[in-house]
Amino acid sequence: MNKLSLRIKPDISEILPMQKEINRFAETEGWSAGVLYQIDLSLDELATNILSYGQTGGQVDHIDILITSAPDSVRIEISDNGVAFNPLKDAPIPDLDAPVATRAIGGLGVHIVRTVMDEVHYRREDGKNFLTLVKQRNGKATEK
Amino acid sequence: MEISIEERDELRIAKPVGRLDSDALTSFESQLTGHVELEGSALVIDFSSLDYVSSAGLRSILVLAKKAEQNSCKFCLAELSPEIMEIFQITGFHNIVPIHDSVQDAIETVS
Repeated sequence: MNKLSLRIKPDISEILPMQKEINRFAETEGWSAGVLYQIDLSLDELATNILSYGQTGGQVDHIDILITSAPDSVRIEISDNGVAFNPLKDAPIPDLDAPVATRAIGGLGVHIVRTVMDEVHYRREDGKNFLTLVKQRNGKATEK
Repeated sequence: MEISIEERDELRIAKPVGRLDSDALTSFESQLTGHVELEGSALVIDFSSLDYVSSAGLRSILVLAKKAEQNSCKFCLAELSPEIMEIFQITGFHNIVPIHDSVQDAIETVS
């Protein structure tokens, strides 16, 4: 079981270098292209979320990411020291069937993460927000 | 963001390269908005050189789709990778914008 630990500054420009780091780790761990895409995307969506509510709700100094790769699954923990915010509870559920004219713009990030990951949990601990994601490496979460 | 745009009469075929994410969305929208504001025109976006689309990118696609509908412009996408197609299905975006397997199919549909 191998681990990758990353710390990024609260800035959108940090997301691409973070993903490049993860891509190198994924290659040595032999993740499939689909698993890697879904993990890259989930981290982008959640980090972008933290940055946008961090700006309105107080200072976020940095975001810590810990990835644990096992043969059958990948576990990811994302933490930040911003104000308490549970995106799983506080994010509005988008209307996925609305036609173009009335379809609301935005609100899709958390929905994507919930769908592509097998597990998503939130906890508040020691003044920090923790999100834990689990992705099974065999089979697709969207088929469950 | 690098986007090549081919013009054939009323039809535009746009081919963005790389990542359609938070970083790219302002550039993506500013380069393509003008093409969906012409009454009776058509825009096909060729996704074959895009390797990443996030929810920020989907937001840009929705913005273009709304403008296209308001202006009676035909708008569709072609050649999405399996990973990107899955994100469109998860979010219901495959029902918002017509998606074609090939650019040629897309061109025939809008012509």
